[in-house]
Amino acid sequence: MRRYTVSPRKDWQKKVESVGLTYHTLDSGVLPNGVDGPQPYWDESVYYELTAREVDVLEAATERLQEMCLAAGQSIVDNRRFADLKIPASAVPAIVDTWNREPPALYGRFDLAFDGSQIKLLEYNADTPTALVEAAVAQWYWLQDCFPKADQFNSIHEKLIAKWKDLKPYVTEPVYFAHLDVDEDAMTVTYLRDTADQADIRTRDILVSDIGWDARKSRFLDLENRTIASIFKLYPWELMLAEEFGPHALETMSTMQWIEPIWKMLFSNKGLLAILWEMYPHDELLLPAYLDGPRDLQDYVRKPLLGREGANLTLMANGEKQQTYGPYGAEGFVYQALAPIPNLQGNYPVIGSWIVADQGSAGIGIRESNTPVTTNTSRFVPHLFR
Amino acid sequence: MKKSASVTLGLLAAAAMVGATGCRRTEVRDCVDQTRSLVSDSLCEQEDQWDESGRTGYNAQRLYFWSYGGATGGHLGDTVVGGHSSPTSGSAVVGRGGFGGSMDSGGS
Repeated sequence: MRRYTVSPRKDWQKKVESVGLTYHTLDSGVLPNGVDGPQPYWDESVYYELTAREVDVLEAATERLQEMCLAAGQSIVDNRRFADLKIPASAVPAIVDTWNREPPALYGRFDLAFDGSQIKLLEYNADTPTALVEAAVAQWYWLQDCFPKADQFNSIHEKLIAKWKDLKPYVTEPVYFAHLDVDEDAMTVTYLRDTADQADIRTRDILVSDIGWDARKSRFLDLENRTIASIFKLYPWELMLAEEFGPHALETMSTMQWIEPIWKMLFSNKGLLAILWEMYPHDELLLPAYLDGPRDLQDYVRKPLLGREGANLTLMANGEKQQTYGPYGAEGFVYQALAPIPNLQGNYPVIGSWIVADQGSAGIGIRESNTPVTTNTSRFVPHLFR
Repeated sequence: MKKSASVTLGLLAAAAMVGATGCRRTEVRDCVDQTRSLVSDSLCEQEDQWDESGRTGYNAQRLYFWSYGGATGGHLGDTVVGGHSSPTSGSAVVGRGGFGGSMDSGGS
């Protein structure tokens, strides 16, 4: 895996905006030269080139990780490990029911450390993964413009449409697509809605905060008070359950389809990393991870079970401690050995490897950071392979 | 080949063309008075609370209404053009805002 610098396309901002990546620049952040100011989130002044063999290895690893996670999910359910993951008891019946019933599920993103040979799972974003428009669309168009003869590990678009075609008999139309009123979430959900639309599924857009609850008929409604029977929501289950309508969501499990289903709480919880290590100790794709403390780890990361975007991490490396801040951690932590993320001229790339349910490994996106921690300000850079 | 043969965009391209703000909300909800002038949402929210808790003499009639899908300049006092009304008395009592209050972004 090699990193190259290259001249961005002329008017690259307009080009990526035209394919939905309207959030290509961050309002502020610290540039590599130390200057604080607007910085690109989509960074096509850099690209990564992989070999076909590296892509094959990533693809196989992603498929295998998914199998391991499914086995871990079964183990959590069979052995009632919900309390270890700090999953509320009120959610357990719905999690078990949906785990066994297998209602529609769509996608997920494994975050991987990859140095060209070793692959290590950092975490699994299985409930509300983003960086999707970038991976599925923007980098595909970049490749067409800049390296049309090269290939890219990216069939996310095709696989999402194929998955929606599979789901069409099982969802109730229109399928609602819910998101917060922020640019990235809106475009991500609009893209997913687009893929459903291309699978001939009727769709409607709704803001998460506009979802209505009809207490008399125990049903969720849209703004025109039409019943919502199937909904994709880009909003995490753990927060939904803690909010006013959370109990109502649990009430509707048998009458309404939530995508992603609530059992994804098993996978989006970083306690999964410790369960995986218990089940597959010393597996080459895993890092040692524990729920009860760092044990014998010297260099490790303490991650909140429900943390997001690199917040509230504590890194212990060479006896020195670094921390990031945020609102997470009250729910508990997992302790994971420090990953061997390559340092390429001060840039730390992490692979986001996409899986589409029943369609398999679908492609990758790469995010670069100036530190070993990937955060919401880390840059997305395109890739190709030959 | 491991790349999509084509990436055809429909809804996303349309959303991108109108800009981020144009795609977020397909249905705008405004609070209006009986002359269809835009008023603060808090007045309709108060009316919703009275709908739920039961109306008495001084607030027996609803004075402010939700208007869905209309067009307005967005300033208090502007006339809301078009749109359709909120549920009338006797229809479902609907609570809103019970999701979405915990985060600035739902993705990760």
